[in-house]
Amino acid sequence: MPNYTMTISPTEAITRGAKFHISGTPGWIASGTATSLSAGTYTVSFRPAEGYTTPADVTVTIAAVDVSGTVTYATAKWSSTWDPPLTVCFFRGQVFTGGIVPTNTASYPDSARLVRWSEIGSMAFLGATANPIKNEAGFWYLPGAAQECVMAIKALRTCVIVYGRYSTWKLTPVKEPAPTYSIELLMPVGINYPAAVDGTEEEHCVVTRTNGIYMVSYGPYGNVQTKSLGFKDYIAALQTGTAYTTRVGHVKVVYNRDEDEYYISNTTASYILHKGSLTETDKIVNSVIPIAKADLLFTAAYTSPLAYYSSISGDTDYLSFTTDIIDFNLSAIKTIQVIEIQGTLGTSHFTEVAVDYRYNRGASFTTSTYKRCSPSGIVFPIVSGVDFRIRVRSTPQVGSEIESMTIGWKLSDKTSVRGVYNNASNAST
Amino acid sequence: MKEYRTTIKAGFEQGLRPTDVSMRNSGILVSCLGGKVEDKVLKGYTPSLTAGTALIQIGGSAIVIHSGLYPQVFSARSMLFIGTSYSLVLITSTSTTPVTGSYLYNAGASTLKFPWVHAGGDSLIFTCGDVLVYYDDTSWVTVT
Repeated sequence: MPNYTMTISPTEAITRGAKFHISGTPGWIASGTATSLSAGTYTVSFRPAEGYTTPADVTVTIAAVDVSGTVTYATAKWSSTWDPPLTVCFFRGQVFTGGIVPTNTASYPDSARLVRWSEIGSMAFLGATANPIKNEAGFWYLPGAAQECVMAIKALRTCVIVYGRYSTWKLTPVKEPAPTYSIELLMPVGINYPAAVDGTEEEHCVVTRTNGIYMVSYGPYGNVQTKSLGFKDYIAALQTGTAYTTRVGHVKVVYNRDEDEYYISNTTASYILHKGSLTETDKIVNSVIPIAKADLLFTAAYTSPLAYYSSISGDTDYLSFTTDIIDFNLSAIKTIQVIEIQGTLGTSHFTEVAVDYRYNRGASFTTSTYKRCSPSGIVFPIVSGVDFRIRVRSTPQVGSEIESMTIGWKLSDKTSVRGVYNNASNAST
Repeated sequence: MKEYRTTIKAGFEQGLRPTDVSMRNSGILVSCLGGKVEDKVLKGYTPSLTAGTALIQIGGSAIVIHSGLYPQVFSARSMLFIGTSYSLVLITSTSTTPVTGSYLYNAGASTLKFPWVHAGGDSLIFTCGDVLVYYDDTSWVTVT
């Protein structure tokens, strides 16, 4: 009977277990081993070898003469059986990957919670090309709910932060008992979307599923600390109706290194976070490249960071704001006589003030007409009510600087102020 | 009738209200558009950004730029990358307008669901959940 011989290469793949199998015969056959076969058609399949892509089956036809074949196991740095990760991170020469594309289904496969880290200086992962003897590559499953999924992985100075949907973890490299990572829960809250975190290796800005803004950074004693900044009202509005299938309610955080500010936006609204204070902007920023880096890439000399952004339509050259409710700590009816805006408003600025007012706290606010301020920032709205909100708008934006606002008001209705009313009444008689 | 004077500052030193309940009489702001707090002063401000190249051509065809999430710009080593809703592009020449590039990944008409993520630093590793793209010593590798 004729012989069939298959030669496998490279040698390293054979060392890692590469063999072949002929249909209708028992067991795996070593490379180069001749197998006697009767005439017919056979399927040759190959044994998986760690770090290599398993070759596809081949069909061989045996007739009257010997037949031989060759096959090369290709290096597989990322196994073809693995889903592409949702996020990647480079940390001290190692590559971290995690997550899969989440859906709106009730539960995710385990691979959604899987965090892998590679060998140092290579894309070699455990279960693919990593050398297990080196003990550098590894993996870890994020614990938690059925809908838990790794959303983002980012380096933070000497550790790696893994942001899941329901929890946030700190992975710190350790030497003992073997080179690996110690794992510690950082926050019992997570993020809705991979882009909901950005920053530097010193600080991350995170928008959580619970509608909070958190800063993750190193504290004064070298420990990683999380600080909640609040702003729940604004973030809740951005994340309303979050759905993976439509991208609705997906918040993106983008860091601008040159201005040290974060842009937090969905597709319809955008905020600037600068040193803990939040304001709104008309630019939805997708990404930013710092001036220094843009200068290296292009011949043009940049004076501002290179970015892709879109603008929200509207009055774009206004600084406009509204205060929270003011009642001057009195529930009686008051009249606002004058409002003085302190700061810098140039003579070319057009600044107007309106007042929201209501006569009882259960009612809705009514807004007065806007009145123009004098060049020195003074306006006389003459509006009465129990509660007020002050609205100011100034154009152009450039040069508008406001430090404080003084409101001159009078008590219109003295019946609710015992003593003062009576005294005044007595004085007049 | 006596006129009282009340000065409010908090809103101009802190910007928007951080709490989800009213901070009555604090002077904090509940809306603030076109400003930024710097040194405890509310200043008229809009981010000063240089708009990324409006048009990128590959093989003579303009690539589609979507608003919102895409496109994204990444830089690593001395290379510039643009992530769009269906592709990852390596910019090959910026000396002309429009700039030219080549696809590292092109999904054609289908659109991606999640943003491109760059591994960071000078690494040449990108992912978006639908595809992993990395440079493997000699060539770009795409894993879907």
